[in-house]
Amino acid sequence: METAITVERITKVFNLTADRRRSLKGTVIRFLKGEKKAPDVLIKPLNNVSFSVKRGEVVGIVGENGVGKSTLLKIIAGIIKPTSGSIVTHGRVAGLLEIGLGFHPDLTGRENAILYGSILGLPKNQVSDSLDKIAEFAELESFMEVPLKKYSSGMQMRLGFSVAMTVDPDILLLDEVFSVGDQKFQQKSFSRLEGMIRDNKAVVLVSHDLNVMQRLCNKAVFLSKSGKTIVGNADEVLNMYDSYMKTASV
Amino acid sequence: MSKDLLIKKPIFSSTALRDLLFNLISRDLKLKYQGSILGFLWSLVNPLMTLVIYSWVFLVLMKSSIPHFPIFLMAGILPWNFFANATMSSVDAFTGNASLIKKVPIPKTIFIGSLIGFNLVIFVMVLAIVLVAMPIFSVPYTFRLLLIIPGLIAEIALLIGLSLTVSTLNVLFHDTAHILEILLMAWFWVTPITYQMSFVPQRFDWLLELNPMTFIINIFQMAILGTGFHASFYIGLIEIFFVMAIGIWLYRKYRYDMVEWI
Repeated sequence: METAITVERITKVFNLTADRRRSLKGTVIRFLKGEKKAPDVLIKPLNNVSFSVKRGEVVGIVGENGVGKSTLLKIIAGIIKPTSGSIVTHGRVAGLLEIGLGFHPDLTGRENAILYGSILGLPKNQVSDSLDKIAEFAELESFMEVPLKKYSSGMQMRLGFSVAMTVDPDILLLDEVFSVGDQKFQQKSFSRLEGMIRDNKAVVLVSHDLNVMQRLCNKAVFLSKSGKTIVGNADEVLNMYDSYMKTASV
Repeated sequence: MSKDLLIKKPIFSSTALRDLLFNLISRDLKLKYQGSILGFLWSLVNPLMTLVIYSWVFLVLMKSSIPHFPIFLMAGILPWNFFANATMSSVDAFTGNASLIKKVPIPKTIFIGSLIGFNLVIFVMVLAIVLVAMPIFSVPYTFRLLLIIPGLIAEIALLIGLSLTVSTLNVLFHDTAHILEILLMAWFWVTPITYQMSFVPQRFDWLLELNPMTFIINIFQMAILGTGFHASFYIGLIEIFFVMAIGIWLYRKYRYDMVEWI
C-alpha cells in the first residue's frame, strides 16, 4: 500500500516567554534602558515522534492534554513547522481542525457556505454545484437565504459540517469534529464521516472519545507525558492508553 | 530550524486560490454595501467632501494657480486614498484573521491580496466617475489616459511590499497601526497631491524623490491632466522594488513563527 504521510523524528519546542507581541515604543524604551530580555520558557510537546500512514489507514492520536496532539495535526497540515524532523505527504491534504471557520453573521447561509468552502480549498463551482445537497444534509433548505446571525448555534454547526463533508482529499486530518447538533444529526453526521474516512484515504484523527477511536481507527499513536511515543495496532495502543489513564486518575 | 525538509503539494489549487480571493473580496464588498446601490454612494461622500473643502482652501483662500484644480486634486487624492486605505487595513491582515490562520492551511498572503483587491474595486469605481466628469471641467480625453494602467501596476506593486511589511510588523509590535497612522498623515503632505512638484523649493527635492508615492501620483496626474512628469522614473522604480524586497523578506522570515504568536 502507498504511504501517504511519513512523520520522521518530529520535535516541537514552543517558547512561552510572555508577551511575544510587544509594543515598538516599549521595545525602544527597554533597549535604551538596557534591560535584558525575559528568560525563555520552553516547552517540548512533541519529542522525536515518528510514524507513517498508508492510504486506507485510519490513525488515531491519543494522549493527555498538552502532549501536542493538535500541534502534530497542525504540523502535518503544514500550518506550523516542526523545530526538527521531517514530514512528507503525498496527495492533497484537508484539515478539519474546527468546523465553520470564517463564518460571518451578516452573510446568508448560502454566502457563508461558499466562503467556508473556499477557505477549505474547494473551487467555487464545486461548492455551488453541491449547494442543494449541502442544504439538504444540514436540514436547512428553507434557511439558506437567511443571515447566519438568525441561526441557532446548532444550525450553524450543521451548515459548517455539511460544507466540510464536501472536501475530497487524499489525506484527511480531523480534530474532535465528531459530535454536531442534536442526537439525530449526530448519528447522521457520524455515519457520513465514517463513510468519508473509509473511502481509501489516509486519515489522522484526534479525539478524547475512546469509543469513537476504537470504532474508526486501525492504528494508533499514544503520545505520553514522559515524551515517549507508542505506535501500533489500534486495539493494543488504545487499551494501553485506557489503562494508563485509569491508573493515573486513581 | 529544519528548512527544506517539508515536501508537500500545495493544498490550494490555483483555481481554488483565485476563487478564495474573489470570495473574500466579494464578502467585504457585500458587508460594506449590504447589497445596495445606495451603499456605493457612501464611498463617494469622502472624496466629494475632500474636493469641496480643499478646493475652497486652495482656490479661494490660497489662490492656487493650478489649472483644473478640482480634477488635479482628484487625480492625486484618489490614488492616495487607495494607497492609504489599503495600507491601513492591511495592518490587521494577519492579526485580524488569526483564528483562520491558526486552523486552516491557508496561504496567509491571500488576506493581503483581498484587502488590496477590495480597495482597488472602490478606487476604480470612484475613478470612473471622475473620468466621466472630466468634460464638465473642460479637461479633454487623450490617449495619455492609458498611463493609468502602468500607474496602477506601480501602485499595486508598492502596496504589496508595504502591506506585507506593516502586517508582519503588526504581529511583532501591536502599536504598528498607531505609528502608521501618524506616518501616513505626514506622508500625504510630502506627496505632491494638493500642490505641484514645481512649487517645491529645490532644496526639498530629495524629500519628494525619496517618496515612491511622488512617482506614482505623478503618473496619474500626467495620465488625467497631461501634467509634466517631474519625478525621476528610475528612482521611483528602484524605490518600489526596494519596498517590495523588504516586505517579502520580512514576511518570509516570520511566516511560520507568526502562526504561534498571533
